[in-house]
Amino acid sequence: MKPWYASKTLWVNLIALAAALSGAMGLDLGLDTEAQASIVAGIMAIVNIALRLVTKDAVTIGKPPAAALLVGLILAASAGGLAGCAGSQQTKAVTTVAIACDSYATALADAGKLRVAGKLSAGQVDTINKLNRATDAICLPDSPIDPAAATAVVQSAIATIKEIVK
Amino acid sequence: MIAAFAALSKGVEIIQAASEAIDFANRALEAAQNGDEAKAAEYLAASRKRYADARAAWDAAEEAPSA
Repeated sequence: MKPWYASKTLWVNLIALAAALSGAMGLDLGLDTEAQASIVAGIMAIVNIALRLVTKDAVTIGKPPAAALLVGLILAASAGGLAGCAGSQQTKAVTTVAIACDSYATALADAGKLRVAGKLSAGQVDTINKLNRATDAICLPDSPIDPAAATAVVQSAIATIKEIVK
Repeated sequence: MIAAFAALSKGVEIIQAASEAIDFANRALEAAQNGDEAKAAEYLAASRKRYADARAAWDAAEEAPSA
């Protein structure tokens, strides 16, 4: 019997409930059915990683792929939310970069914990170092605002990390 | 049992980090939807500081042994 947190149905209903409650409170999360499915997929990836931690098999890399999936789904959901918003192009560009940088920072913070714990191989560390160098030009303070580059770098990070865990 | 609790606690930690990122994205989107340029710039500065902090922590872990 699988544990309660491995139930996809439970997560689907929790997200639907959160969307309904936030709507009732006047906050539009912009979560259409597709976005909700993306979030459930991300959460299920996290749950699967948590489940892997209780197996006897070694987990070579756990949090980075989870974080990478989250980066992807957050960006996908925010792109949808930004497309129809009334803000200026500059505001949209600033917001796209802000969300990309915050998402990548989440992934990097997770990866940093694994690195401190000695759970990353030298090759994985090297790969993340390369991703960091690419991200510096977008996310370090005073970098130019380049939403296209921000999205491309994050997508590249997802693809690279997927290669690592193959 | 202890391993299961540790795994669950790790899972909760990951979900908490994710929910913070989603909350940030929601607030930034709300500012963009309202055309609030000052707020959007504030969120950009916050996200870049967060990246700089994560980057510094990553670099500080350089001496950690590899797997």
